[in-house]
Amino acid sequence: MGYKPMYIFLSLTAFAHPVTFKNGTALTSIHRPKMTMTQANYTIHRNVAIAGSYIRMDADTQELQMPSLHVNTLLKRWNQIGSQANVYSVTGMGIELSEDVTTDSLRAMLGVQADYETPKVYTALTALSMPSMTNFANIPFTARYRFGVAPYVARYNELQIWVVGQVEYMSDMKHQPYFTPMLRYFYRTVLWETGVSLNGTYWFQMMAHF
Amino acid sequence: MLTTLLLLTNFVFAGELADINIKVKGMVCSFCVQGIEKKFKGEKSVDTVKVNLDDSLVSVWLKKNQLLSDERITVLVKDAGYNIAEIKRTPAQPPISK
Repeated sequence: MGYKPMYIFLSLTAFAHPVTFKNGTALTSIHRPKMTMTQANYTIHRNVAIAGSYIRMDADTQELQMPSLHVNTLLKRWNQIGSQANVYSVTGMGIELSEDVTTDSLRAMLGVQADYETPKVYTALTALSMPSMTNFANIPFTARYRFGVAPYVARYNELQIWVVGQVEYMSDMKHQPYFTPMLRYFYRTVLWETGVSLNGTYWFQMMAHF
Repeated sequence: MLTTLLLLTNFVFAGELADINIKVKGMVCSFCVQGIEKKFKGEKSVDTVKVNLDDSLVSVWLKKNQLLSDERITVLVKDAGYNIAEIKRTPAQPPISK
């Protein structure tokens, strides 16, 4: 696979809630033009979750797919009354499924996320790379920063809406960075986001916790 | 007297005082509420749990003649991903520690 499709793959990866609560499950899907990412994670310990992701993309001449398995680790958490801050790491492996699967198709997954949240403010920085296990000449890298504010604070059984701005940077891609304003909706155990970037790329994400 | 009554109303559900009230650090969203509720509802001794995000408060009503120790409460809150600021019990529920 060329490197540009890999950057696009990376842009699909979401670590919104890498670790939930012990024995909790999170299901996530992200949709962009011609691309879909689905992820499930299960928290086996209060600080560790195991996860599987699947990304599919329709490129010009072929369909690209990448399943991956990874471990999400809560490295550090700060809990205060009315706020929480976290640092996570993501480590794993994926494989590009195409007509020619070789050792170059194996990719490591290395990521880190830091976030801070109060009932009214949310900010998160995520960085991810998926280098080939056999070729380290070019390492694709993406970074995403989000900032959100809640115009009002809803109760648990009410709909909570956030206004979120997302900035993405993908190494070696043109017309950087990409900015996507979006609305995030929270209702009990379900979250969904809708937005369109300034270059016309739509973003839709859904997440549910069990 | 009035102040005491007003404070107690925070811990009242359906006219009944909660057995245990827990001030929790780190609860900021509805996903947080779900995690806490699941952990406490999974305990055999717990009858009802209510979470108040505004006050960072978890109120627990126990089943008849059931107990829930401070140590167990701490484990449940930590497994949900949070920390305890304070545990308060109604007079009928004295502190329980091993």
